Amino acid sequence: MPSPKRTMLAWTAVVTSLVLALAGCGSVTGAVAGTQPRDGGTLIVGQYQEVTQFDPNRQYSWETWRIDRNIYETLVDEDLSSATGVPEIVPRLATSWTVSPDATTYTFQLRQGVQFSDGTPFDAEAVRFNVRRFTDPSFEYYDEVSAATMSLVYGDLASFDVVDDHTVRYTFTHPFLDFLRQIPNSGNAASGIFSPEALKKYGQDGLADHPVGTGPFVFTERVRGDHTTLERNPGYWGQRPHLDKVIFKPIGDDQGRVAALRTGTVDVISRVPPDSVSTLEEDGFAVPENRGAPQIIYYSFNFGNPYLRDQRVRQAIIQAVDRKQLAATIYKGHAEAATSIVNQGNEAYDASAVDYPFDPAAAKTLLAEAGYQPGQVKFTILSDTTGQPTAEYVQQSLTAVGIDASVQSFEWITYGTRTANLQPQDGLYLGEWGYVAPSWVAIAHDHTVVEHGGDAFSATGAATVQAIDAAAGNPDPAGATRLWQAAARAWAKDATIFPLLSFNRYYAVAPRVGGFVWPQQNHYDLSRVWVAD
Amino acid sequence: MVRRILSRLAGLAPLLFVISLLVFFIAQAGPADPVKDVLSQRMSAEQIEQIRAAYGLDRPAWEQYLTWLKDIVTDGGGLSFSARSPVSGIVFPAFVNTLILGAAATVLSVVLGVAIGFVSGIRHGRAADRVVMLLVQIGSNLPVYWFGLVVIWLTAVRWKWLPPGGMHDLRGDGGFGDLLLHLIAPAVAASLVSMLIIARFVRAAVIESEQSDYVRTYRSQGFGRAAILGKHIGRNILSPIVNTTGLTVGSVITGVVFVETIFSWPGIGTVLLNAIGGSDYPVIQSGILLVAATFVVVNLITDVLLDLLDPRLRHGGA
Repeated sequence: MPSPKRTMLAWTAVVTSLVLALAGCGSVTGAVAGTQPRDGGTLIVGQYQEVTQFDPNRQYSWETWRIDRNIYETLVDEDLSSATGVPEIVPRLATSWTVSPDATTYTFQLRQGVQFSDGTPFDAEAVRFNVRRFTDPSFEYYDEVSAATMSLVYGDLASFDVVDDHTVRYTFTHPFLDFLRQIPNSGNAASGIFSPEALKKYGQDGLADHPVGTGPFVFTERVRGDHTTLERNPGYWGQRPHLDKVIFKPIGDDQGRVAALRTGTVDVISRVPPDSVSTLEEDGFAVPENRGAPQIIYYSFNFGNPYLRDQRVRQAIIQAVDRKQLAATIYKGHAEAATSIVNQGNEAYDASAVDYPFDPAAAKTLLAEAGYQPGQVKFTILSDTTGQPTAEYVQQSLTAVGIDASVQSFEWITYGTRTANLQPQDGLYLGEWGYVAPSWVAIAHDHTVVEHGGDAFSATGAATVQAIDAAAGNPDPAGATRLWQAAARAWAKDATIFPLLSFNRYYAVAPRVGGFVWPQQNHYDLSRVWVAD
Repeated sequence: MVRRILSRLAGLAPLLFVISLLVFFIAQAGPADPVKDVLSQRMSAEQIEQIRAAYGLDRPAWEQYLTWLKDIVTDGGGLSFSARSPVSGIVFPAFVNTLILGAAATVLSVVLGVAIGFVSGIRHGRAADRVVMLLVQIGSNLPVYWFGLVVIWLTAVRWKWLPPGGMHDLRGDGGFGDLLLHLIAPAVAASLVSMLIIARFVRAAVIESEQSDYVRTYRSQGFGRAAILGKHIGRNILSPIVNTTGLTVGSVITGVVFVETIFSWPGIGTVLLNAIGGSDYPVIQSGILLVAATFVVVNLITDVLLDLLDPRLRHGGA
């Protein structure tokens, strides 16, 4: 027989949990968007970073391109309507194109009758104006900032020709198989076509705040740090987008962003924290899974650190960490271990490629061979704050093989500054990137190794450079995948890059939103998205 | 009195000059290279030099300082590196938002802090005082960041009383009522620390005054407690309250920077955080100068108020 006090306590517990459960149910009250698309309404997107500038040639972040691509269109685009598979290249401002057999010359037939949202015509001259802005120093509207950014794609452009009013031709100095893939694929070096009249009117610096393109949405306003508003372009040449308005709001704090989604302040968020995935799903939010998003988290080695100039030490570091376990525990399975720099979702992705397998005993042997006692190798791991648990996991794994690593983490934006100015005691630093295009291997190798002189510290470094050059200079699409995979395998031997994992959850979507697809790409198509009343 | 205020104002100029020097050269001394950060990796040395020249980074530091000072005076701070638009258009609107939040937090911390401290002080040693002081003790040790998240979780997610962040409802028309609604939670979070400082201070001042000789004299003459508290103790602790408030405005402003991040409040903290990431010197420098100037002005206002409240200061210093 329980005492009255006990009974009272039990009741209180029951009532309290009921109240809490009811309170919890409140967050699922949003109408389900149903299966029928609806025209009209406003979608609010919560982004994890403040965006850079709405100037396609000067912008440099994925979150910025997720906005810009609705304002500016590219000559070709990707079909982003499917959640799986490499997106097919489809016509956009070009209706068709031909590629020369040596993959150096690309000729585009431009879509006719298209106007920029300021009423000026889109034609071959407009494209020429765009290209000259970032390639031709003799041009009145040449911009060195754009030139520097755009050189990632257009650095080896030999010539650009206007064939007729609606035909343009790009010629590169070497075969460039990935050009079509790079046109719509952008964090920086975006090939979105802007209105030449807008640039003349607002100036080089003014375009960013007065963006004018041909896209399905037009820019209305940007309040820095608060929001950016786009409205449907009434004169759009293509299919009418469902939404009338889209608002993008930066919410840098992870928990703040999740709270904004839960309360209906925003309808979609990016970069959902792994801890929130299951609770959001329980509460009726969609957190789509995608095992093909072309994104990868990796550590770069600091070659200014004397220990890390030794290939054996770098290999020991890679072999000390169980990346599968890292994805399973720290990311609760919402990430996939990456054992090659060729990211998941890349055309040359090979799930079976493993740089060096997890083997702590082998790691210890390597360190001993290199002449180091346990505890002798010391360095710092630099990370952004969201990567802190990952860094701590790696730190523990390294301790187990006798490497003494400390962790320093920074807000993402200060992190960028810190890693642009590496110190000798720094060892590993986090990177986040990835592409669908396989030439990502060359971009990543340049960025993480060549620029830091890292290829000098590997016995096999010269072979890697050769393999990458062979892949980059190859004009034959049939052999491309094999060559890039060979280049990645050669690079993996050097142990000059430490791939970690790729996210397989990234967006969370409220029940009132329909038609949101997370494709195999780092952005999404808003034109087929709709919202319930 | 007017002369005293004028002389204090005149003293501001050299102070601001020194601050401007510090702000400018500390930012310059930072390890960050703005050109290295902002741009992609495939740049020739020539391109880098062209960009340096375009930003004016190739000139000597003192020349850059003078240019910056001129820009501040004429158009509010020149061009932002990363946004390539006028700094004034980035910094001022954000600063106004910070002032709104800072003012709300200050008012909250003064009103609640004085109320809590006064009640606790006159109930000195009793149960109410103990409970309040325990809460104050716990509260002053809460990290602002964590407290802000708890406030969001309770008021927005759990109870759904308040919006979880931002300044306006993006779906609504964004009127004054809407602003007030969005202001409550961040203001509470930003005011916590200084509210508790003021509360402890007021409590101590009340206790001290109650035990002082002049109060004992009043009491012995038969004055009621309420009259003594309201007319004499209240008047006597007013100066220290103003003084503490002036000092805590500083902690409110620094706290606001954290609070802005959690509540996605589009203020100067958010702008500075982004600017630091982009090594956007002009924005960092103008932003910090503005915050420093606010600090100085608040101190000036505090001094003037103290002069008005305390005749001893007024006559002693003139």
